[in-house]
Amino acid sequence: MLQVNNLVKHFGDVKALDDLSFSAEDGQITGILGPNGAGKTTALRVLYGLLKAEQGTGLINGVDSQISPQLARKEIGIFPDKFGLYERLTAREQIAYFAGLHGLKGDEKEQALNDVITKLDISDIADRRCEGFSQGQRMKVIIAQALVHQPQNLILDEPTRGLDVMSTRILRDILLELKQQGKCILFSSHVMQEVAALCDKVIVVANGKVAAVGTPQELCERTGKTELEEAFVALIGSDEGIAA
Amino acid sequence: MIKTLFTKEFLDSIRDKRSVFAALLGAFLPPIMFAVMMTFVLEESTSVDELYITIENQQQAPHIVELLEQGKILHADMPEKGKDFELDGETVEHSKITITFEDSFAEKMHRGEKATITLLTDYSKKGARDEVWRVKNVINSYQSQLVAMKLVARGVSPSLLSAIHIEENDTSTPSSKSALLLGMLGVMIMVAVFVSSTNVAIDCSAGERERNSLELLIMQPVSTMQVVLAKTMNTAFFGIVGATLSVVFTAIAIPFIPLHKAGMAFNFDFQLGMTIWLLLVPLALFAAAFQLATAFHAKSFKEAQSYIQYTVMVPIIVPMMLEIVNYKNEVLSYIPIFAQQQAISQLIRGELDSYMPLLAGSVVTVITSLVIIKVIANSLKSEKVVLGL
Repeated sequence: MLQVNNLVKHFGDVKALDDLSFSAEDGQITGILGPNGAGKTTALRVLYGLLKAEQGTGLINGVDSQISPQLARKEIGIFPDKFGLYERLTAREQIAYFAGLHGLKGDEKEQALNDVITKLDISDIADRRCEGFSQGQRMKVIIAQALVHQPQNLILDEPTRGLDVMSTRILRDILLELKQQGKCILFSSHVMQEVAALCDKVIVVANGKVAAVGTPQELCERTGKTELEEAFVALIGSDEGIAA
Repeated sequence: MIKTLFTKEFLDSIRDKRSVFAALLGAFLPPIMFAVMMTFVLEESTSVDELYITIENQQQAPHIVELLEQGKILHADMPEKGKDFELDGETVEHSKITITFEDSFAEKMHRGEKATITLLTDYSKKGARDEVWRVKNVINSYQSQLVAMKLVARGVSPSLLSAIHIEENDTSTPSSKSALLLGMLGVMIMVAVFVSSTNVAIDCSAGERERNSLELLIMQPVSTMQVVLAKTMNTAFFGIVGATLSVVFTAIAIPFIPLHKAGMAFNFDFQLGMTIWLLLVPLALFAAAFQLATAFHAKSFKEAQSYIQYTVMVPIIVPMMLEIVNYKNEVLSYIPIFAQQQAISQLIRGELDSYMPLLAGSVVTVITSLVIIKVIANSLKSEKVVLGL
């Protein structure tokens, strides 16, 4: 369960978040849509406890990340906006590192490592150094390290960027499986088909505010359009920042 | 948690060829540089080169020829062209000095008459005066011995010849002669600590930021303090390895340096090596914190490199200057870098009276490092840094 309430945040004179509130429930995939600069990444960074909001709260399973960020972060797996692997570590070492950061130790850690490696089907590359991995392999390693501590919540910031069709499908399957397990998944994207196909709930963000919330179907109905892309444009009032 | 962080940092650095190479370079360079420099300086200052002159009518004065040879002034035929000639397959330089004993030299000496030696040379030639002085010095000392003996034979004390005796005393002691050079050795070992850890410091801060892995790291349930501590420990570890190797290599290299030629005595024994090493441990921590503080401000490896090449001047140039002017001040013993420079300098010169300043300096260095670590940890929390990711 992820929840942000009434976030307000300025960068200089620019109002990045303007009383932004939304929530992502367990057992659902929630998508955040918004043009570039709408405040998606800023909102997520506030939720991670990386940035301080001037007002409002960011709750992860009810823990306020503005007050106790480290405790709150234990309950999330993050697939960041820009991700870099440690090129000189093997995939296994990389995942083990993040398991360690989440406090896993000894047998428990080994077990978690083996589970996640099997689950993502990366045993063939697990003991190879990350340098030279394809974009798809990198994505799997990042997902594996985000999931190794079995968090209740998974946050993905534009996860399909740069992925080929096969990797995108794999990612989609992983997300659907996690949803089946009752996890809470929040992801931001520019790709409409992606959002339309996966999300149970879409939050449209523009100018640091929530412009609309609903299922893809509802949003289309509300705006009288047949495609989510058209609905999105109608909701934010411009076609800025859409990558189809 | 720190263990997890440190293990990863260490694994990451030890697999980075550039970091390992830099650490080794830092370790090897000072002792080698010092050994080469010392050997060169010593050879230059102490060895007397052979001087080749042409001696005509040698049979007239075999004693003098022998004395000249003892003074490494040897006979060689005047080369026909230029000043170089072949000797045992090597090209050597002829001084172009000719001394000629007159034909009746031996006979005149025998009779106690004034005998003549003709010295022929081009005085305008560079260094000619020194060479002539060497030749004349040998002949003059032969003459004064001869005169003294003649006086004794006539029952006159030779001391009448000299009314004044100039007593020459060289106040430079063996250890103060070597002090400057040995002080430089101390500075170089300190530099090794910095050089060995620079690459690691940049790689795990600016490098990690450049490769986009720093953002994800600080999003994890760890405090920035833990992250910075682990990175500092790893960087300091490389500095310590560099320092250790550098001290060991120096200990190995010193016996091969012909210090005795300059009348220097320097014993780089186990105790001295150990004390210097112990002093370097807090310095390594400081070097790590100092370089990380610089490198964390940079967004890329290259940017960090260009910052560090300037900031690292401070810990290198300033101690070197202090060493050259041999400046000592109580206060300096309580400032990181200077504390170590002063302590190592005193240790090497054998001037250390008390271990107290060493201890105090080390404590201050550790505290300063921790303060820097805290500052870095706080800066990683700042919005500016997060947004710069």
